[in-house]
Amino acid sequence: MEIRETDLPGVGRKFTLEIAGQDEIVIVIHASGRREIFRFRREHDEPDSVIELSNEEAHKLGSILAGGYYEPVREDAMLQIMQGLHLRWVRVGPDSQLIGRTIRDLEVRRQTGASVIAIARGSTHIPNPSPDEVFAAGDTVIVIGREPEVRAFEALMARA
Amino acid sequence: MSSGLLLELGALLGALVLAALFARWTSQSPIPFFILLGLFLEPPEQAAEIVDFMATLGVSLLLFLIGLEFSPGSLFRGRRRLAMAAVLDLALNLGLGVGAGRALGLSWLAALFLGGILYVSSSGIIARGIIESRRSANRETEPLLGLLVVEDVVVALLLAFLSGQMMGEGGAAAGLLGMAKLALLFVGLFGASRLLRRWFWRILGSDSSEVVVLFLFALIVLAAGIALRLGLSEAVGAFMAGVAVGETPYRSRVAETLVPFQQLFAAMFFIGFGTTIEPRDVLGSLLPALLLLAAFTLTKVGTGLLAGRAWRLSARARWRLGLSLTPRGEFSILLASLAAALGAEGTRLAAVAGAYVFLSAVTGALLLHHADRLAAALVRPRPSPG
Repeated sequence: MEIRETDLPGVGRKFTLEIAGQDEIVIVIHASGRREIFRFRREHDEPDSVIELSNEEAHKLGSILAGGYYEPVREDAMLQIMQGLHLRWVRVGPDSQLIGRTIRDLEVRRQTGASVIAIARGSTHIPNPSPDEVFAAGDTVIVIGREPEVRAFEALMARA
Repeated sequence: MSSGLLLELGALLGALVLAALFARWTSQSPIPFFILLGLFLEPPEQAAEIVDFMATLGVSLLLFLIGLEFSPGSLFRGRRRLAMAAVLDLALNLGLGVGAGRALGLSWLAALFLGGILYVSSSGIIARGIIESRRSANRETEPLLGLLVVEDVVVALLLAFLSGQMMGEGGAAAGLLGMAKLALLFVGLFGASRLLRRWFWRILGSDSSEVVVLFLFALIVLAAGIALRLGLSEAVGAFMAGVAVGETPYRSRVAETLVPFQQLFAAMFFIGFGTTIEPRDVLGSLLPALLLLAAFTLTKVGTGLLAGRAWRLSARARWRLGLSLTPRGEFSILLASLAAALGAEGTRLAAVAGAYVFLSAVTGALLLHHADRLAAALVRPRPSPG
């Protein structure tokens, strides 16, 4: 997809992008920060619709369109992504009994029903860790499961 | 400063507010109303001096902001269409304008002023009208705004040439000398901005808005002063300073910073222009101004209709382009205020220009705002096949 960028002296900057069906979307960013989004039908030289946004509205809309829109989460966040399905971030404390043990020998899936989908270790991430991955102090373990399963995982951590 | 002076200036500013409100209410450009206000007001001597000073700043800011928009690189790069349109615009409006001036019995110098006054469309009025009528994304808008930038630059050059003519001995040699000085000023400013580039950028990028404002005013006023010392108009110096600053990445920040100042000081310039012409002279100039208005509205519409072909615009878009080019404003007044120094001929010219800008700001704004409907009425859509 080609984006053409041109200057509109005294008005602002114009971005033209052709979309499937050969319609054109034209975005004008005014010097004042106001945005206008126009849609031009193929071969037409007058827009058939226009949306006007303030700077702030444009940022919100942009993040939704880019798929990056989310509400800020609590620190030990629990995110309900589907009904009944929970994602939980669990931190392995410095004197946790999980340290040095693996997913396999803890029988995480069998004991709790929850699955470990990732381990965040410092600045590295281990997505979909192997059953032989050894837990270390400071790890953040991300588990997924139904509410009771996730609870059971937390209980396992306390027991272990 | 005496209380009387402050009260006078306060009353003047209050009157400007009313004029601006009235313009807003009637969705017109405030320029003609400011001039009208000046026409009937006679500020006392001391206040007039202050208005005069602020008007000088207003003109300098106006030209500085034009210079800012003008980047030599982008204007000359692959713009053959724009160059063709600009030549057409020059021939139809400046050329015929000078011809009209000669036919009316003006001297060559005065005719050149008249040509410039009739040639330069108001980029201020037009850009605002385009935004308000939501045509900023239309296909004809790019050529339209491109032409306006070229016109403003041509007028800045014309201003340098004409002020050289008026301050020197006159004649082609003095005009050429003026152009040479202009080139000197340009090279000087440009060289300085390149040499001191790091320093320049650091100041403009400063997080203190105070630093930026003070720096910009120092630059503009100094450039205006140097230009005046060289025997050019102060406006030209400010224009060149604008071009130099336009080369930095801080263009939009600078424009944002200066626009409120420009609005204040330019209002003072228009009111000041109004005070230099007599209401009686303006009334006496109404007939010639009306005739010129009819003729030079047609030439602008014609320019748009023909120039639009280079961009392969549809017939409607070409009509919109032509109709949108018709308002004249700030630069016509700037030229007229300079022409007023030409003696009796100049006084007449200023009165005609005042009346012309007044009429064209109103009719032009109407044509601009209703260009959509007018173009649709003038060009029926082709019946779709089948």
